[in-house]
Amino acid sequence: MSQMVQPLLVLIGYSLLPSLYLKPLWVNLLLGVLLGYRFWLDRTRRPMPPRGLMIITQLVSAAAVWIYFEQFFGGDAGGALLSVLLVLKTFELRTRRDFFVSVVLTSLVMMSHALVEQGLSLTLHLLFGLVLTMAFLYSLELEAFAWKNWRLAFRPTLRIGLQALPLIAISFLLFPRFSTGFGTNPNSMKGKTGVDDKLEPGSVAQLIPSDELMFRATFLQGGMPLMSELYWRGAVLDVSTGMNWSRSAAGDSGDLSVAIGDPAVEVFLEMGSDKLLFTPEGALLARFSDDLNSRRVRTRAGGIFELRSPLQVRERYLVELKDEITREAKPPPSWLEVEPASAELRRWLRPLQGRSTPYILRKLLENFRTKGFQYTLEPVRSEDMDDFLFRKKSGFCEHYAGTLATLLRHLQIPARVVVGFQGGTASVLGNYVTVRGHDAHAWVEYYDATNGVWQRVDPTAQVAPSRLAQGSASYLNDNQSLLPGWVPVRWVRSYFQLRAVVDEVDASWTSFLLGFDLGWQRSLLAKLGMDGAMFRALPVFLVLSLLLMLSILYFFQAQRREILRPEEKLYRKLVKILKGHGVVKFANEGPQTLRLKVAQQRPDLLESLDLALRPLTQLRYGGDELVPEVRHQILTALKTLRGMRRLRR
Amino acid sequence: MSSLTKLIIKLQRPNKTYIMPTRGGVMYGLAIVVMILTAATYNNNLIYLLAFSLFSILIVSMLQTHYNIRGVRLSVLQAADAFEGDHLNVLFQLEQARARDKRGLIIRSVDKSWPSANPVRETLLAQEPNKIVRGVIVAARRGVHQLPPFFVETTYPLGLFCAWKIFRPTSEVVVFPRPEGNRPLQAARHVEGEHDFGLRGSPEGDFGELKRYQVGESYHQIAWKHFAKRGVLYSKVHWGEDHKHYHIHWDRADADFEVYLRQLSAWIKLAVDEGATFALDLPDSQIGAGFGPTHAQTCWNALARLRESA
Repeated sequence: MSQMVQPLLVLIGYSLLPSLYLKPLWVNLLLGVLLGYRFWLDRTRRPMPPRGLMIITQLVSAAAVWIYFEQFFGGDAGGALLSVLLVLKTFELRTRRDFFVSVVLTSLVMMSHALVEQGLSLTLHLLFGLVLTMAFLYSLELEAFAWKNWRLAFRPTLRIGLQALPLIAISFLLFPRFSTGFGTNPNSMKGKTGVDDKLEPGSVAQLIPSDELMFRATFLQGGMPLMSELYWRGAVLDVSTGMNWSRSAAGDSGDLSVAIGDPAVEVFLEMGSDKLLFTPEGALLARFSDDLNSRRVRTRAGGIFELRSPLQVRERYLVELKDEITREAKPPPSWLEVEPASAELRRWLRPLQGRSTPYILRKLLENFRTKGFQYTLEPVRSEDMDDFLFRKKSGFCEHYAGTLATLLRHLQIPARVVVGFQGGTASVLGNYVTVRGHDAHAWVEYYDATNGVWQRVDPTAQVAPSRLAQGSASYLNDNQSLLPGWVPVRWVRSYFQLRAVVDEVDASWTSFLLGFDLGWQRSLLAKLGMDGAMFRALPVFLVLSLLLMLSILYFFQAQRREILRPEEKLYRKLVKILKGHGVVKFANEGPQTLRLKVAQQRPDLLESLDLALRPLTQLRYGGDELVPEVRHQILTALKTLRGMRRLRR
Repeated sequence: MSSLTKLIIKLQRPNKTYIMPTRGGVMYGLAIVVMILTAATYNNNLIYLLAFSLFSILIVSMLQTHYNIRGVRLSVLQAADAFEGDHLNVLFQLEQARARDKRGLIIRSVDKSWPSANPVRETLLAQEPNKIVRGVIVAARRGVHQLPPFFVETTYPLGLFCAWKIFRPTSEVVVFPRPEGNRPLQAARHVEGEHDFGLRGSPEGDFGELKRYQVGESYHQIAWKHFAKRGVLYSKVHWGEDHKHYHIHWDRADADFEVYLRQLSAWIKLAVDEGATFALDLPDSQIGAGFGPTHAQTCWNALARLRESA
């Protein structure tokens, strides 16, 4: 059994790989040290540490998990605890059962990764993990494993895997996606998008070096908007303190539009993105497909949407757009509240007071464009708005948006700041957009009293038009490159193309995994002609299809061809031909008895029979090798035999 | 063995295939249940996928385990007699109806009172559809017994399921009493018949000559020096006065029946080892003088068949 220890350690090491990016550093260090120590013990054939020490290590690790995560359940804590227990289990491998327990724990550890992350890479990791598990169980069963013959261990996995495929497909598609009703626990996670309900200088800029995926959006009704016109609204900020903006604790918008039309955009939001749901402009509502009564989503003032509790896993939501632009009431005076302006600012604003909104906008933007303003990720620090506006003149989108909105309010135009994302990376193959951390953006909306609508105005477009045209990545310095440093420059293009394709596949797979729910099951089966009452009997269909598949597999297995030696095949052919001539060989009769029978019943066949039977006997019992000439001779004799006259009854 | 297990074994019919998950298979199945519950709780399709993959592998491995034992038959060719507590060798013919590869077949005794001594995994290849294999069981009790039923079982390929067939051989096997005990035995001068072979296989007396060693002769007499020189085994034969004869009487006194039988067995062994002639008295019969392993076998056989009441 001891030769199975190292393969088991390899299997466990493989199953723990995703922890490297899913679990905190100390967990990985602990696992690595324990696993390495166990490997070293096995290599040097040293005795195991005393049992007491192992128990203490178990208790200490469990305590560490508790202190760090403050719980034992849930994807992170449970996974960490399970991983530690699994690795500690390898220190007591005595019987076959210990190995089995370890294998089962390994599968559960693999599952725990899927609780936290569901993507293409993890799926592939899990599938290969299954192959390794099968290979391990096979070697364990044979109690024989040698590293130089490792390929042998994979021999049955292909056959088992291929036979399992249809069963996997059936059970995955037909297993009813019921809910146990426990749901996800609402402990909040650290916001990852960083886009939240506050805006201050630097809050967006710090996101820009991030290449992390925020969400993916598919345009369901075809046709993708221009990237420079694509604004993903996250939060609307309505309380101004100079350049800093925040959100008042305003309640829900009150208009509960539950009318469900055709969704226009489908968004796969990564987990940990706080509570904001990002929607394109003109969104009517955002909803989760399994959440018909909008229990999980709040519609907030300003036409934005919020989750009641942050996502635990990547999820999919649908966005419906307004059919037509509706007039909105003039906002209350609170939308004009600003901190009192300084004397310098008041002087500067005086020429604009009382002018028309388009004029004011033109002048303000012109100021940004022509008065030497710089658009940079690393702005010179400004003390306050005046300092920025009149002296430093250097900032990122949040500086410009915050300032512009405050200026508009000073000029009696209701204005607000919107934070979210701008643009994204258009897909190569499909009509969807990938939005990453560096697409974060802030812009302004003002109330256009003439038309009664809120209009977007993006000051960044004036200062740095390329920001919108080429995307935010162009604002990165060389040392902030999104590419790993080891990638040669001439590969950059191919790298991005390749990543785009991988992204695509990943996105489609993820969208399938996340989107496949009871509704999808229903529509899929409706296409196959099962609906209504039949759908309710889904479990019955599941069991029936599984049984059917099983019978098919069983049938094919029973029909598997016998593996015969060539001379055995020829001999069986001969017996068959003789049967056609009326000489039947019984199971207990050998070739000599058969020859005697032929001599009695069909002496005319004897001559040709001997031509075939003699070399066959020699091959079967004399241990000769079948050479082509002999084979030819036998085949000729068989042909002659077959052609001989049949006996009339 | 509990009476329930006994009943279950009794109900199993020969040459039918039975299949059950192994303990490992049950654990594996429980892990699947845990996964499906987790997947349902978190609406996690990836976990569903993992769980169903494991489930399908379980099912396919069940089919393959079942396939692995289909058409396999077992018959007993020969069973050697043995002393109680010793290993008893049984020769089986393992065969299959059709030429296919069958791996990891284990032949194991069903009966707990006839435990198998480290069963090995046998392989039947398509090229070699039948094969003679050796099974070793531990002979626990003295007497004449029917061979216990045997399982041919397999957990190939993944060890998640165990499929087996039961075979009930009809042959009998004799288990001799274990040679045990150290009561002294008095040698007697040769009385019966008074024929003297002249040659003695015992170290007392003068060295006479060498003769070819025959299997079964005492190895105390082997001329090892000659073996070292020539590589051929010879026995030393002595001339002289040393002829030994034992007459083993039935003198149980108050000794325990089985213990006494073991003592008799030990005396027979002693006599054979010394190359002496010996005769044995039993409560209801007598075995006349004779010598060598064949005679000993006869005596041991008689001891194995003795019943206390007699």
